[in-house]
Amino acid sequence: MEAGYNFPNNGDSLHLAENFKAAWNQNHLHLIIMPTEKCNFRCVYCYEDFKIGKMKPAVLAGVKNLLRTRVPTIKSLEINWFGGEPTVALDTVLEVMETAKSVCREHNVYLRAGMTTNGFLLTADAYRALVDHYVVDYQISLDGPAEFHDTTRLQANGKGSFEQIMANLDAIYRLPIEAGEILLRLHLTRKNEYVLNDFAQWLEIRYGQDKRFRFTLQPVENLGGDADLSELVLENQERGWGENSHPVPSDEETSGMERKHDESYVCYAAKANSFVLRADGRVGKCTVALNNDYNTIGELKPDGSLSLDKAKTARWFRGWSTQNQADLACPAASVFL
Amino acid sequence: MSDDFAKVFSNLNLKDVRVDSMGNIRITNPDIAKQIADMKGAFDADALADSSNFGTCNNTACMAPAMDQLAQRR
Repeated sequence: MEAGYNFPNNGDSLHLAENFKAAWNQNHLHLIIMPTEKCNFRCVYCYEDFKIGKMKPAVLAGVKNLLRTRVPTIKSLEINWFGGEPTVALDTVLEVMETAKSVCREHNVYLRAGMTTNGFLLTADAYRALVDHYVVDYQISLDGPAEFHDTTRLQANGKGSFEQIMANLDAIYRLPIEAGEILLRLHLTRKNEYVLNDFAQWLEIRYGQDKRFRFTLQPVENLGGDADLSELVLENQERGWGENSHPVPSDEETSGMERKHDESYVCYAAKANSFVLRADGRVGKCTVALNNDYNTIGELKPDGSLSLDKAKTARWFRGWSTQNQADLACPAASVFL
Repeated sequence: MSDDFAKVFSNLNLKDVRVDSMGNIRITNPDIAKQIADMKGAFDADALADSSNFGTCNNTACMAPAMDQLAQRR
């Protein structure tokens, strides 16, 4: 078995029991790594504070040493790059992936990686370099056409970002690469709800022939930032391709490019084989509640060992004993209360 | 397996969770561990890639911000 793109895939839906197997399988390791918590964007609804900069050498050494010690004991490794904006620290991403690639190849371990990125710095060259290092899955957010996107997904200098992101996506589309997925996360807001369906159809015409490209609909949420989002956040009953979407897509018009939400979704934070490695070496479970002490379950040491607080770690698994789907979809409620 | 699963995990006590310095997290209660091992199909498959695991919640159930704010107010 060689490291490569043919990672065992779950399809779109897993039952609870199968989710359990995936979540507690210690032959698998899932790392969400934040190479920097700085960002080149200032999206109006962002919940992060950008206080922690690029990963220091001791933390970087810890990540690489963790891979060297743990990979020989597992069968599959999944790495997701998050931030901040991971492409701002592309050199760190590639350095870690070089180690992951090497050690996975040596021990016949499946390797697959992805990245949540704003897409602004994801040029064709950067994408090609990342794919060469097994970073094949991408999630890129779009807030609708330029006139909407450029009012909410702003660069740090206040300028819009739509044109550059689309230029990058066009260039990636033209590359002769078939691996992985480029998931366009379409943010639904009060302002763009009337145009988002047309925008999705426009994207399908543009990229629908390429199996890498898919999209998912996601309402903008208030995730804890300081901004007043009342003009953007929709009420629960207004979300989705519902009556507020104009024109309303019929069943026949439902796009094969759309990835639907999984009703049995289990958050990575509820999984026993999933960790968030922050740029400052803290180990967490959730990528949203970054300032909550319950979410700091330990520390990554330079030698690659993890110093984990057993009691704090175990709180994230309560959903498995209650078997409450809500606790598994978002364990934060049972952890923080 | 779902019924077996429900029965076994309703007995899971979080005190039976063990962590080690390599990030291994296991259930140490021998009774539960045996029952899990006995469940058909348990732990015998390769781990499954979950492409929802981007670190960005792709579900509408994320309670983390509200819980975070509530905890900070107390």
